Amino acid sequence: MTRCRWTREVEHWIDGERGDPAAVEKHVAACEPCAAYLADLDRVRQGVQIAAVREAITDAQLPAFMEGIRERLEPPARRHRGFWALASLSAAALVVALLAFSLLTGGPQEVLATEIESFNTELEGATVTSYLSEDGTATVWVTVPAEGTP
Amino acid sequence: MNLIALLIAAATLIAAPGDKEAKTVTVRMVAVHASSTGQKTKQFGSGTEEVRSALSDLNFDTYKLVKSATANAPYGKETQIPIDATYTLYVTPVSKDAGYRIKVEVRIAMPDRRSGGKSVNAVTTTAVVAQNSKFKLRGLPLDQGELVVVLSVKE
Repeated sequence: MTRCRWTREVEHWIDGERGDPAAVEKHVAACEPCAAYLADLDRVRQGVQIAAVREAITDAQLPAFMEGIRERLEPPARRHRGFWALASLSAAALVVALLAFSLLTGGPQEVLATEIESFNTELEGATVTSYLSEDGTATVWVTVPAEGTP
Repeated sequence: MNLIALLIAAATLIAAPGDKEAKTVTVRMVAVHASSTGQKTKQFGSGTEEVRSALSDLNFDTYKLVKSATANAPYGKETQIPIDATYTLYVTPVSKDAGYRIKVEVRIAMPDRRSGGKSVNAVTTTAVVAQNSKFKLRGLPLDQGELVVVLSVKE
């Protein structure tokens, strides 16, 4: 690039520091290298201004912003996670229910057979016994003598 | 949602049948006339099917239904079930134990001709009966055979 002796004046002028603005402006209008240099300086200044702009996040944008961060930090959710969570909770509920049942009922009850506690007869001469038949039927057996039937 | 299911399950368990005392007991009676008539195989009359297993230990060859009946018997109250012209069954449910067995007092009464027809207890027994099981009273004379009364009780 061809440099003009007005180059420093152009730099000061664009920075608004000092010099004779009218004279510099008049020179730039007539000097092609200074006009090109001024254009370059202007592009650099605009670029710096753009880079210097601070990004601001409004309240409305904050949830989306945080969600974006969360997505990058957390591993992707596994498929069927909801099903297994539900299954786990249901199993836990079943265990608690069985425990409650056990506590409330005093545990599984032993299956008890029929028992004959007592027996008697008022028939004269008759006797009574009890036994358990082979099929498990409790039986009360009255033996009545022929002459004992009233 | 799971918490609600848990609460429902707990409420169901708390309201388990064992905690509620039913006020009546269903008594099922099948009275059979057992006799020996010279049959080569045991003959069971109509209506005795439900008690055949309970009769399996008897050495008679012919079984005929005398009467079958179902009655609701309140706890603490004697319920009368006529068997035939001679015998009458009386059942009094007393209580239910922790094993769901029902304690019953049972008697079969008959008139005593020698005392002017006054009722006499031919047999009296107290039994603790498992639900869905049967027990029987046998040996009372009936028409050249004997009376067999098969009973079951349940709430």
